[in-house]
Amino acid sequence: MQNEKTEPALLIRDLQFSWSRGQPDLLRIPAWQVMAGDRVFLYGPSGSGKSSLLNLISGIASPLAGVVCVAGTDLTQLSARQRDRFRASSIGVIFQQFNLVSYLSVFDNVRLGTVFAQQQAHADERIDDLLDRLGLGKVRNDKAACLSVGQQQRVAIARALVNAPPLVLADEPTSALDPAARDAFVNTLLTCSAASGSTVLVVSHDHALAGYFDKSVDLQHINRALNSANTQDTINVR
Amino acid sequence: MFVKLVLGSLRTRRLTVCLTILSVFVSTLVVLGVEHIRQEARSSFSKTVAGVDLIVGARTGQINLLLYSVFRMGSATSNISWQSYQHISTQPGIAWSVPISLGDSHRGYRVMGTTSDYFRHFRYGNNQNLQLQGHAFGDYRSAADARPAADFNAVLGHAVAARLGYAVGDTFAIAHGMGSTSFNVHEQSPFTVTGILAATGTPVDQTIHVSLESLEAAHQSGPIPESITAFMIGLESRLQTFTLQREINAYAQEPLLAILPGVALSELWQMMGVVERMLSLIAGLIMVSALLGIATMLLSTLQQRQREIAVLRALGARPLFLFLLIQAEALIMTVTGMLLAIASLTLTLTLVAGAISRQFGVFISAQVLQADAIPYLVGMIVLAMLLALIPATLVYQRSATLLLHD
Repeated sequence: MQNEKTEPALLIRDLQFSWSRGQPDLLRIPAWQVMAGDRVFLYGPSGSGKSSLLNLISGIASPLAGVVCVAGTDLTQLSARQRDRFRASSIGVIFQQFNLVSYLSVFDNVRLGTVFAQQQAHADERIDDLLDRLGLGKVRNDKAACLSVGQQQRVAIARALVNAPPLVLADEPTSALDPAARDAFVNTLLTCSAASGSTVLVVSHDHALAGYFDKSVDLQHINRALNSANTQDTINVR
Repeated sequence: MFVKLVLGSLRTRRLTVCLTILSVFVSTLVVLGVEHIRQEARSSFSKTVAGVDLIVGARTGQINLLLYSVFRMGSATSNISWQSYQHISTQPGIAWSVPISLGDSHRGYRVMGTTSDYFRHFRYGNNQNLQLQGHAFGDYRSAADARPAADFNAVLGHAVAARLGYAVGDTFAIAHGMGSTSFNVHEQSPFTVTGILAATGTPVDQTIHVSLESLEAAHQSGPIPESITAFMIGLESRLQTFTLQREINAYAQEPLLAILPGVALSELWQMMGVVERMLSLIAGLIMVSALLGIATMLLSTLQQRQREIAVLRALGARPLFLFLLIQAEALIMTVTGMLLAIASLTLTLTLVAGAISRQFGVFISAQVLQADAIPYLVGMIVLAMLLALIPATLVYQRSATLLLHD
């Protein structure tokens, strides 16, 4: 929390991206940043290049040109292996649904987050602490598959935050939840990430979420690529 | 955590996993079983006769002669005359000769008329002598001044005594020809068991030995037979083997055939080699299909695992980690199936080895993991790993580029 507003948690400059060379760019973002401690809502309807952007920020995909900086680390300067390691320790990811490995217990699912980050010192206490705070202490040893969707999403919060990462990425995290559960989820996410000093970036096509956040950005405004909608559709067909 | 993931993943798919393991189990069982039986048959085969330089019978194929004189299988097409035997066995260079006369049986076991020399000279395995409990029959060779006389004594092979429950002192009648229900039973001249041979694991165990004179007397002829089925020869020097073989094969008075048991055995084994290779081929194909099953199973579950893979990637798992995850699952299924097969084969062989040696007079070791089986097992694991490369590489490639695609 000390560094709040001093350096960007996410910095994108001159970014150009398409899934393969020769195709028209899906993303072209001249400059965009998210300051540390911010809670940002990124509005991205389907076909806006949302998935591509998330893959870039999490370091799974690499841009054709430009810079993607997370918490001061330029991902484009890292090898694939270093990016995987960096993602493990510095980025928490929450998906829409099926965030958990169904055959592992709640505890083990959260512990997975510490394994790849190689931050296993005192991991067990940290995990139990988080689970208690999220009201999941009782289901600690239950298999993930036995939980309700709401509970599963809370476990996903615990796992995203277990390493206290500088950045938490959430991709449509509430679309599987009813409005009441959505409310509870977003509040929990924001409270817990504030407690661990993590910047939150939530990407969704649901405008209703915007109200919870400090800032709201439309991906179509920052993305200058033409025809992004059409090309996005073609890559989604698999 | 890696282990937990692998085991958890296998456990969630336990039905498919169990069936896959079962198919590996069955194929390993077939591969090891065929290989084991082949080895055991080969070794027990080559141990059937030793220390005999030539076997002489009426002219026929050398395998046929070997089969009826040593394996007690089939029957001779014709006999050879006693004069020819006498003439040849007194040739210089011949250390010993043992005549055998076949054709009668007792409750399915062949009765072999021979001389008491048989127990002295016949060898099996690694040149082992027959071990006789009790005493042999007397005949014209049993002592220097002995005269031909039928004493109706019999020496039983180990399996005969064990299966029929005969002990020294018991009496029985022999019948003409084979089969346990012959109409032509020589009831008037019962034989008495005077000796029982120790188990050898060769056809000797299945044979009832009597003297030539007793056999003649049972047929109300003799005392010295007019003809015999075959005879075995031991030479003073092995160098003479081929010379003598040629002389016998060119014997003018009667068409004869002399064979070297070792050569005939290997020719017989070569004939069986086709079957043997066929079995190996089938076993190999079964093995490949089981391993293909593993790859197919892993491949078909990839679609369901797309989410799980995305989650692991998001958490920072490297593509290599996911690759190894798939390989480990394949390895575990293969090795589990194989270990189960080895265990159950060993157990089964241990349980039935006694019955087999009683029934067939063949000793089968329960030692499944012999040096010859190791390449098969290693090959199987390597092949499983190679086939698992297909799903594992697919996972690796997909996960290297895409976190999510919805």
